[in-house]
Amino acid sequence: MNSGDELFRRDFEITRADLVAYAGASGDQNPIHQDDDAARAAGLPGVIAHGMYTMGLAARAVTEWAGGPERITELTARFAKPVVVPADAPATVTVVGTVRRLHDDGAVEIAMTATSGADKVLAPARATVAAAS
Amino acid sequence: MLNRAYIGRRLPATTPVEITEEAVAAFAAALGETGGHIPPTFLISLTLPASDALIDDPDFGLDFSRVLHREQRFSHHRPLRIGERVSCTVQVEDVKVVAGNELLTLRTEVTAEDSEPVATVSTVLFVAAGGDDEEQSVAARGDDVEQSADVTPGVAAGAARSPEPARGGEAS
Repeated sequence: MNSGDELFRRDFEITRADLVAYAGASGDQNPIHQDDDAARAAGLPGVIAHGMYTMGLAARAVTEWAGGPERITELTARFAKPVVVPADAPATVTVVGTVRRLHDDGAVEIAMTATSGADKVLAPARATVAAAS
Repeated sequence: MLNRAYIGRRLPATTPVEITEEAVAAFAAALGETGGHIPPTFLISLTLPASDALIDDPDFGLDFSRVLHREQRFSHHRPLRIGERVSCTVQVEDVKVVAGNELLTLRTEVTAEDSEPVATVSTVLFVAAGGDDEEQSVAARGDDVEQSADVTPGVAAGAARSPEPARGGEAS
């Protein structure tokens, strides 16, 4: 494994139903994630995914690559752009993870990009996965 | 403006909450996670409600209708376990001013009942400047800064001048 190596590339779909389920599970019932009128009133083009939903997908990509969450020690993201989720079709988010740095103790620091259409929605996002013991 | 006297201040630890299989399963299912894992972002469902007392404190001056979620960090000191009880201690770590807006960093220590550190969760909130341009939406103003942010709870209520309190969505 070398710096710059691609570790995973995943396409995820986000539907309105996913956002409703996430709102209930996370406690974030902000209407901009469920209601177009509320989103437009906030100056958005329409309903957007929770930033934490997109980060959750990036975390899912790392979890699946690592074979579980237990070795994920660090996870960070900056919310750069919203992901607009239309009512009639899912939004797609592509998460790509590459090796950013290998630590002396065997941990892998992963740089992730998350894009939706032409937008980088998480920038930057990173994860550190400890060496398998 | 946020009250700078709060920098460094800690809220009292929250009452311990059990990590239930049901709550984890619902969170995981919403994200399409089918491996039976605890999602690495699950603790957000505990840490943001833990800061409610701060958001509710008029002396701190945080207007949630002008807040965007800008950045999020999880440092997991050890894996979270189903069935354990954890509590959250929120600290106001930092307030920075960027182009007249404020960046508030909240740091939450998540600890097990035996005081073992479980995770450190940091949330950076972008607080748009109030004042004369207040009619401009927070979402639009967020785009003016180099790194815009996710729109959190209060934003819709603030921009729409909704009478609804800007709550219910701190976890955005």
